[in-house]
Amino acid sequence: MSAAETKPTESVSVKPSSRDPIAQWLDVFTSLLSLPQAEAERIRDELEDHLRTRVDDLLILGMTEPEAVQKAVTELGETAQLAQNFKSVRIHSRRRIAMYTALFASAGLALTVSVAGLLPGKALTPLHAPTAAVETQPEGVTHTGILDQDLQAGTLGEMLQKLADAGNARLFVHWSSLEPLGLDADTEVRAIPAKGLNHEKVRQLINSALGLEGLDELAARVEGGLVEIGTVRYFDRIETVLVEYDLSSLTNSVQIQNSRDPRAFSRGPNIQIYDIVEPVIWREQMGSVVQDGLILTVRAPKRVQAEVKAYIDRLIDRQLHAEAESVRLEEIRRDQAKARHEKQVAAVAQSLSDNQTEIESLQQERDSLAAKYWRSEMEIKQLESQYASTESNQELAQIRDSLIEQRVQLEALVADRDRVQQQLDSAWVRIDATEDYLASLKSSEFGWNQAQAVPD
Amino acid sequence: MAAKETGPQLTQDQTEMIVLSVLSEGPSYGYAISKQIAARSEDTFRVGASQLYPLLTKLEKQGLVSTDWEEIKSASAEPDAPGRKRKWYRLAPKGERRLESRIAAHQRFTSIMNSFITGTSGATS
Repeated sequence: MSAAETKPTESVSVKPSSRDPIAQWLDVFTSLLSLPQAEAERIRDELEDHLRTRVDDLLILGMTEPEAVQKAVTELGETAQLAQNFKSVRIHSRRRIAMYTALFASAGLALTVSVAGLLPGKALTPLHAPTAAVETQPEGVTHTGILDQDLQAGTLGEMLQKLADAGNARLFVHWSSLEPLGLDADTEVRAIPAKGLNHEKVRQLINSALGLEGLDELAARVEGGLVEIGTVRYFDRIETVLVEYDLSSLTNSVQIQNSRDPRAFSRGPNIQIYDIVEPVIWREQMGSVVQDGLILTVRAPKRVQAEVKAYIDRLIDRQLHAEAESVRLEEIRRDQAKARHEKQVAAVAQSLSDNQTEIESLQQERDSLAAKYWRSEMEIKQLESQYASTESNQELAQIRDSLIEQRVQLEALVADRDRVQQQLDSAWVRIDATEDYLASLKSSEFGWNQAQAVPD
Repeated sequence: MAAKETGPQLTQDQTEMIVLSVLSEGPSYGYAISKQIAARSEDTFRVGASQLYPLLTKLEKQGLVSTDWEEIKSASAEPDAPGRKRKWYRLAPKGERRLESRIAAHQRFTSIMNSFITGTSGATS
């Protein structure tokens, strides 16, 4: 069954009455919509058709009318939620229009500033009466936000209106803000090659054509399909707000310069809001900066507040980056220290091993000398015995010579033994010290803070 | 009594694709669209009024569908009595393009999912 085939021209409907519960429910529902009456009526009509068609179906299925009505209404879900769902669609739609026409607004600004709310009692000067721009499409423009033809030379009022029309928006121009610049709706503007450009770019070209710069430039604010045009100075004045910035994320090494006294700058400030962020604003007395401890209070237009915030964010980012860099360098230092420590431990261990080898060598030498000493003593005792038992003078003389030679040799052995013993004692002292040092190195985390020299 | 089985939850994009798809077959109105979705999915998908009508409103504001109104007169109503109004939706060219992109995205997604399922069944066989 196709949808087209189901299109009825007649329906067996529940006849509405003053006590009709469907009408009563629709009354409640409509009151919850909080939408313009025409839009609310259209939604009501559609839901009424839904409910009555549904009731018709349920009656055919055998339900009583009260049952059918109750079921049909229940199926719609919670009334307030249903109304909210419709309102959400409208809000999203309005946001799209705001985004769409926000090409007027300066980059970096909040695009949907409630300007009207900021201007109690101030009369907005309409260039033209608000029109239902959404329902019409001016010739020569598209709804893509891009102008599809150049703007012919004409009056400023006409040109701004064309831009607004291109964005499907209504237009209000604060002519009073343009008067000091000698501009009004009839000011002639030369042709603008706007074809293919977005509104922001076209506005810049109009500023250029009129010779407007800085605070005198034309700016725009967009909300709910309404575009307001005024000078930057005008919007700055009415959008000035007080904002406190928490500086606790910044360390003591960074201080805020909050004085206008140029001499104060020489006292080593790191942040110079007055010099860096929109200097002209402070010069024209359109804002102020006050610091109390870690709270920076800035009175300035919203667009300047955005720059102040961005500036402080950049400082915080820079600090975070510096901290991260510091951590990275510390890690490198630790890695290097660890490598040095390991190298040192290896060197000390090698020294210890060398000491042990030396001791073994000295011990062998000492043992060898001891054996020679013992043999020499035995030799002397044997010569002395022979000397005592020999009667031949010639033999006695030979034995005496041998004894003298042996005793000299023994004395030399004693001297060698003492020397080796001293070397051994020294080696033991060294090995004890090296073992202690190695133990202390191993007990430290990396040992890089220990004495670097290996003991002799 | 067995618990009532709830159907799979459609994402907003899926719901939009289904509604646009229904409208691609011809003009329709809210109640008929919801019935058609339920019928064609064998009651697997139920797009309630609280979801459908705001969605249709959104589609209309985005220019994806065009609308017109029809007066419905009750058979029992007086000849001169005003009937109730029925809002008809028709797929706009922009809606056709949106539907094509939604279908293409869905087919890509299905294709990728199938590649996993095929791989799994292949591994277990």
